[in-house]
Amino acid sequence: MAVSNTQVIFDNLYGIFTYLAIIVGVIVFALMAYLIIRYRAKNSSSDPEDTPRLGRIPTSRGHGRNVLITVTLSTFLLAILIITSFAAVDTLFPNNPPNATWCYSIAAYNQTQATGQSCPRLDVTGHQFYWVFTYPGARSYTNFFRVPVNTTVVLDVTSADVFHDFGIIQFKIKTDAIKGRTNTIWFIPYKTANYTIQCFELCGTGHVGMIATLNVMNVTAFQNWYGSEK
Amino acid sequence: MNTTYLYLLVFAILVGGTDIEFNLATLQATIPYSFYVSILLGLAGMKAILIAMFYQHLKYEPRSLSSWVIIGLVIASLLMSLSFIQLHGH
Amino acid sequence: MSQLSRIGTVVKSDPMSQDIFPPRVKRWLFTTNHKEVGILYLVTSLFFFVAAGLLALTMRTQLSVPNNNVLTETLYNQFVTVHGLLMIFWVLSPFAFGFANYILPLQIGARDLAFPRLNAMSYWFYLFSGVAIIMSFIFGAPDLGWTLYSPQTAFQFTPTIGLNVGAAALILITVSITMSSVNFLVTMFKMRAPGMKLRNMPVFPWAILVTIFMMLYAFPSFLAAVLLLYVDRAFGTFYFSSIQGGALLWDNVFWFFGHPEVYIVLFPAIGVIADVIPTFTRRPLYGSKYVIGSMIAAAVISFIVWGHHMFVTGIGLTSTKLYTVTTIAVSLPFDVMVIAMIETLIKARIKLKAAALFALGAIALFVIGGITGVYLASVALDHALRGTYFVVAHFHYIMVGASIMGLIAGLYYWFPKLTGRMYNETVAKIHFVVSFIGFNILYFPMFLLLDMPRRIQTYAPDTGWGPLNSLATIGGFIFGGAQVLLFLNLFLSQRRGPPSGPNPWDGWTLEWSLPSPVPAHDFDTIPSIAEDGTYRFGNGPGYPNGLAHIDDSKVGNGLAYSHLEGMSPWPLVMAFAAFLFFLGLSIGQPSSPTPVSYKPFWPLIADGTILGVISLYGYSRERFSVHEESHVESWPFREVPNVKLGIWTFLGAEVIFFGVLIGAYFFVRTNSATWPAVGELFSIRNGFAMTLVLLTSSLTAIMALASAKIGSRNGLIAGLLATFGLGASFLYIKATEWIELGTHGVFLVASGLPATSYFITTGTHGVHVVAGMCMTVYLLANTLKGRYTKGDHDAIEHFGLYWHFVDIVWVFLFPLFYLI
Repeated sequence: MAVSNTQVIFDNLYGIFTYLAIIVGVIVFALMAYLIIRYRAKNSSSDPEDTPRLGRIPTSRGHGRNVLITVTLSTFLLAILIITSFAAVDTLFPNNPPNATWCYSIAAYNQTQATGQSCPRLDVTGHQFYWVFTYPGARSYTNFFRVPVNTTVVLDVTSADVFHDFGIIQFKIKTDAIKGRTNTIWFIPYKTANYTIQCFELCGTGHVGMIATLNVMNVTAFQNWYGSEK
Repeated sequence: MNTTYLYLLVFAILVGGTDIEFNLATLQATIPYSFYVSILLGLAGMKAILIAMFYQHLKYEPRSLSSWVIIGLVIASLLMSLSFIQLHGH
Repeated sequence: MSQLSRIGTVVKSDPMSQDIFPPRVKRWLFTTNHKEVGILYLVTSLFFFVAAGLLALTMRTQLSVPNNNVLTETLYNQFVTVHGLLMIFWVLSPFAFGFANYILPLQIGARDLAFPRLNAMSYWFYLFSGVAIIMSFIFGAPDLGWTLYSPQTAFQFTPTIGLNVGAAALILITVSITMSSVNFLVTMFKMRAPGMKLRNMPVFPWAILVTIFMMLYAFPSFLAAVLLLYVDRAFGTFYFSSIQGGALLWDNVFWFFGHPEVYIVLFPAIGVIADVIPTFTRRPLYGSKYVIGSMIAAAVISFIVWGHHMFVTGIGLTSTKLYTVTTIAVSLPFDVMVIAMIETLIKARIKLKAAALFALGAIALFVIGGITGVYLASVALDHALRGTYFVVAHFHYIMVGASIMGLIAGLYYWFPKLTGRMYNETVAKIHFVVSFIGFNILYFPMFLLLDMPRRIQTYAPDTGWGPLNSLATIGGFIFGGAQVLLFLNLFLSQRRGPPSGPNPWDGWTLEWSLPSPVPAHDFDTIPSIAEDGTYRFGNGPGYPNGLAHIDDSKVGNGLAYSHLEGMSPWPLVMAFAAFLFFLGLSIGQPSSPTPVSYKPFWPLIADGTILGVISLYGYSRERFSVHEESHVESWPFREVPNVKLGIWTFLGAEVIFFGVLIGAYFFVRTNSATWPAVGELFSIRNGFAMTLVLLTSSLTAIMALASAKIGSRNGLIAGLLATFGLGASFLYIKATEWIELGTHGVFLVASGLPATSYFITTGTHGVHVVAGMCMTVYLLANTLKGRYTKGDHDAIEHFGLYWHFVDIVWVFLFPLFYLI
């Protein structure tokens, strides 16, 4: 069930990781279990020839070749993970996020058309212990905000006091909210619903209640709300 | 060379280096800033090496000890420079 | 053979150490014997393990159902923080270092550590730091997570003085760890038995060696970070409360320490496992040199992965990608370690005793922890997983699953060696099965809670997180309850268990050649290892022809050993003095109605200082001889005396410490839009004068040594006096400068980061100058009493090494603060 582009990207990547993790895990555990059962000490068996014994340094054992094979195999697997991760992060967190595609007012829209700039971004500020969301024209709301569905939403996140972390749980994205710095995240919501925003960095007594709501609306409902509020 | 003279010679160089640093400060406006900083840090590094070599007599210690110190410093400075590179990313 | 030498013997016993305490108490309080210190470490760390575990169980109870209210939010946050701090600093490393203390010297064939009194001091600093962190509950314990993220540590956000006490505890334990690392490093490089080449060392000592290297680089950075945090709160400076320093400065210095710290707590356990597995599988460790090589590789890489803790702080795409690669790469050496352990099982004869079960179980859990670590190494996934229970699950699989389980394997493995008695095998096996099942019920559900924020006191029912949390809580109580079996088993067995004999597991390492428990002096004769790899004790071959040990009470040349030798009260007293001092610094009152800092509690500081001076005096007066065996294996430092190697190693740690202070200065400076011009704030002339004074003092210090070498008493006295005088002049100029800056209103709070960084960096340097001057006083006093004639000038030389280092620091501070 796709709720946003970021969630889709995360789920795909998480799937690849988990798929490989299960394969590797099953092989390793099966091997361990097999060896432990196969070579359990029986009363009839006697110690191997090279058993380490008190009185001398044990003979060294092991092939560099096997180590090399292990490392090569692992490098191959890890390379897959690195490449897929890079592809995902290039989309999710590029140095220059995509342009916001909703301009909130005709005036702003005309201006961006004329100058070729992006639509205005929304500002998010973490406070002890609430979130403030600011639309263009300094319209701000505490602990909730609304965006139209299927548009590119870009958020500039910062903090007014201590270290917070802004996470939209169902969208699988988050970024740190740090005073004096602005971190940008973006997403395209696919589905109209309420989504939970929570602070993910312990920020004091009150942290547990630092929860906000993102309400994704269809375009008409959003325009009605945004226009009526003014 | 008599060690006393050696120590005095090192001292003279150290004082001379400090004097250069001091006088450079008056010329600061005429030199590019990064160049100025590099010269100062270079001078400080040279003075530090002189002190370590002669006053802490690393020059006369077994090679194991001197390489111990040098390797440690190299790793430390690599790590430090790495952090500075990261700072530039900010 | 006259190789018999008494290690750590107090030649002239001290009046204070006599008759105040009964012998049994005195033995534990004043001991410097590595085995007793080791047992103290083990017992204390297990005590903290229980304490931190109970905090965890309380938290699990709180989280078992939604909207629960067993703990208030403040209390929950305090528990989260102290649980983390305790487990990481006061349980994992000290648990491992209990074994390192007891077993490691035996395994390398040394009689004790290089500096036994310093070792005892490490322990007492550890204990008192633990007392301090527990005491912090009285004053409102730290409640912002063990990572102590700034700027929340600033006074305005956390006004409770519990955080000061917590920070003081961290400073004390860092001091303890630094002393330990210097001590172990010198021991391992300088005191190996003849023929115990580095490549012959078992994996456990190797793991400790690699751990110590990481400690030496990581902990000075942490000390600097906590010190800056501390002065921010104590004096109202603002390294971390300012935007220019703030969150990212802390993140960098903290995680530079923080990631190596993860391996610092992990590697000793891997060393234990690598020792346990060959013994119980009856085959040598597969590819042991690759295992050791992998450890070294992982240790090196661990210093360049810290950015993965900062993936979402906004450090830029290039940096995050770089850290993704280094972090994922660090899994390769661990891969090699795990595969080597598993390949050891091939064609083995596996005896599934409790120790072996725990070792194999730890490997299995480590595999899960390692694989999930790769998830978190990916910057893309970390954007979703950061700060969630997925992270909690991952690092508990490493720290509890691998570290604690591995160390428990060591506890069962070495219990017969430590006590001379066997534990109950059946109970131990039940302990393993219940622990292993409980562990997975406790932590595996957390992987599935990948949406739930960590460190929240409660959650709403509609989140759907309830059932998995209930399951985890049930697992927590199963796991916690299982540990009761461990403690009961060990406690009863050390009293009533059947005698174990010297080598119950048929192990190959040297500690098994000694009786159990090991006699006070360890080896009658230092063992040696012949070219063909066989051990020899004295002239004859060792086991199985003869045990290493002949007689418990009377050995060699007839010297009787007892535990009452080699004791010193001063390590304990000195640690207590430091504890009082820092407690006094920490528990003052806020200094103004709108607190930015607080006033220290001076009486305690004074007590601590006085006691510290007394104990320093006692410590230096006590004639505590530590014999250096001349024929030991000490590559590559054969020609370097122990103390000198120790001092250089310590200076290395100091370099990192000052490096971080200077790095912090650079950080705040490059982030500041404006900075005073050269000569505007600080007088170049003053800096120049101070540099000349300090350079001259280096000359007089080296001339003092030169005079001592040629036996010129007058020259020595003149040199030391001049050094002292120049140090005093340096401080005088510094004081006038500080006062002048103060009267012009350029002090701390008023003028921001330029002043903050200047006062703290040069102030720390000034403290080093004062310490050096104290040493000159001590040396002068001894000189006047007739010491340091020809051939006895080591102390003068060692002082010089330190003093010149302090000079070198200033050589850098002068241009950095006055000229650029």
